[in-house]
Amino acid sequence: MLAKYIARNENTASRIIDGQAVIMTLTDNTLHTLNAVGSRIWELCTGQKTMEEIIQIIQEEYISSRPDEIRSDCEIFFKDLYSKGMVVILDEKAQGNN
Amino acid sequence: MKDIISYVQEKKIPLAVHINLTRRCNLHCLHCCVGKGRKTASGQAGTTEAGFELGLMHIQRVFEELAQVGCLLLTLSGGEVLLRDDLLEIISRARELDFAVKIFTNGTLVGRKEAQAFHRLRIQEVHVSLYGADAKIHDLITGVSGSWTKSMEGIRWLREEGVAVKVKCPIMKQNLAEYRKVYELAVSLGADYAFDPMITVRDDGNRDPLNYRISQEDLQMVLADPIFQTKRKSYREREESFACSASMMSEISEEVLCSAGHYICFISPEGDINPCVQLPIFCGNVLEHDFQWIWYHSPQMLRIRNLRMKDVRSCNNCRYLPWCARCPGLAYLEDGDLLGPSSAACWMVQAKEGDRQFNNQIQANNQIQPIVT
Ligand code: SF4
Ligand code: SF4
Repeated sequence: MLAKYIARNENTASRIIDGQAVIMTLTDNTLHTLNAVGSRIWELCTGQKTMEEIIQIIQEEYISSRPDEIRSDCEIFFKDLYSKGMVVILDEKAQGNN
Repeated sequence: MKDIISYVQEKKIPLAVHINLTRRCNLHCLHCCVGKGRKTASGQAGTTEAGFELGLMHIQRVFEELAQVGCLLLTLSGGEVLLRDDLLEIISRARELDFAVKIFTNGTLVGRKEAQAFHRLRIQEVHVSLYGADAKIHDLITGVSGSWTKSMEGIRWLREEGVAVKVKCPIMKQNLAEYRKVYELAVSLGADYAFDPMITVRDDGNRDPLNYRISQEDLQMVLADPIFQTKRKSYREREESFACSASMMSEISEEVLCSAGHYICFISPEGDINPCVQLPIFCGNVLEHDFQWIWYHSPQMLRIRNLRMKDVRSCNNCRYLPWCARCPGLAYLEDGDLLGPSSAACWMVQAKEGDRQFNNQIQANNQIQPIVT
């Protein structure tokens, strides 16, 4: 599963405000906010990286946290984003280069 | 991050911006609140028949500036916004910049093509005005025969394409007997609904629409209707209050007048910026200054932003103040004083409380002194 690509769902609109993602899910008019790490992951959800690649980037960027903790937190976070309809999981890399 | 609304209010981030893209309309609704406005702005783009309108190039620039300062929620309205030939291009640009976009329309120009495009562009919600459950009353109010049928076709296309629709029905003398039927119609169409007895003066101060406001007795009856009881969480919550048509969230500090100029803003078809769609105080034009400068530095914007509830001196002794959903924009437009009692809010709270003496007493004591001109 972690080898699959992850992208923001088209049914969202988002803005990074002072380093933190504010996301509107357009299907239920709900505003969500993410913390700093969540916001960084959100930025990386472009369909160009697999979940595994994103976990590795976060592990490199947050070296003061334990890698295994980061991994399990990221996995929970991906599931949460998916269950709220905020991301889609793709077998192939998305078109485009962002 | 703490609660997002408290945060954007504290940081003065214009999270939600309402843009009227045109004053042109194909209907002539009795109660229409869109006035003539400025005939021309600074004149850098083409002048259309019905007056100056920001062109696509300027709108694109404004969108970029808005995105930079943290705006996320856009409402695009008019006039009739579908009269803009470039509307779909405008929405595409907004979506490319990852805005959530709502459209306010009369629905008459929505066909399959537009509905499909709205679905493809993931429009958050399309608000369609409907004044009756059949053509008779609706067409009387719009002044255009056949408009009800067209609006209904528009709603059906939108629903067929899976676009979220909210049917909006102002309640006025002409359609008081209809709104319940509109409610049933909206439910049968799978649409959300909103009813509003707060008919307002035009944004240019023209008072004609007030002739259509329902009586206080009728308002009391409307407020007692269970369909409002389920929608409105409480009278104090501004989110659902009839007075505030602009703010979407109730979590605004009790100290400030309202959300206007704190996290919401308005841009007219000519590019004029006001703190709110309902507060027509000119703060600058996007052809003369960038949005950021107007939002953070315009003296008029700062003046509105710095006002506090304690400045609403004549209301401070009012026993209804804790329950009053006073809109400073309506107080300004209708009564000439941003900081004075609002006859619209008095009318509403009086109906709510059933105190018929109250309005007369307030009007007798009211010293109207406009503070912002
Ligand atoms: S001016 Fe009126 S409509 Fe606008 S935010 Fe304030 S209360 Fe709401
Ligand atoms: S607007 Fe009217 S009801 Fe509201 S606080 Fe002022 S005087 Fe009282």
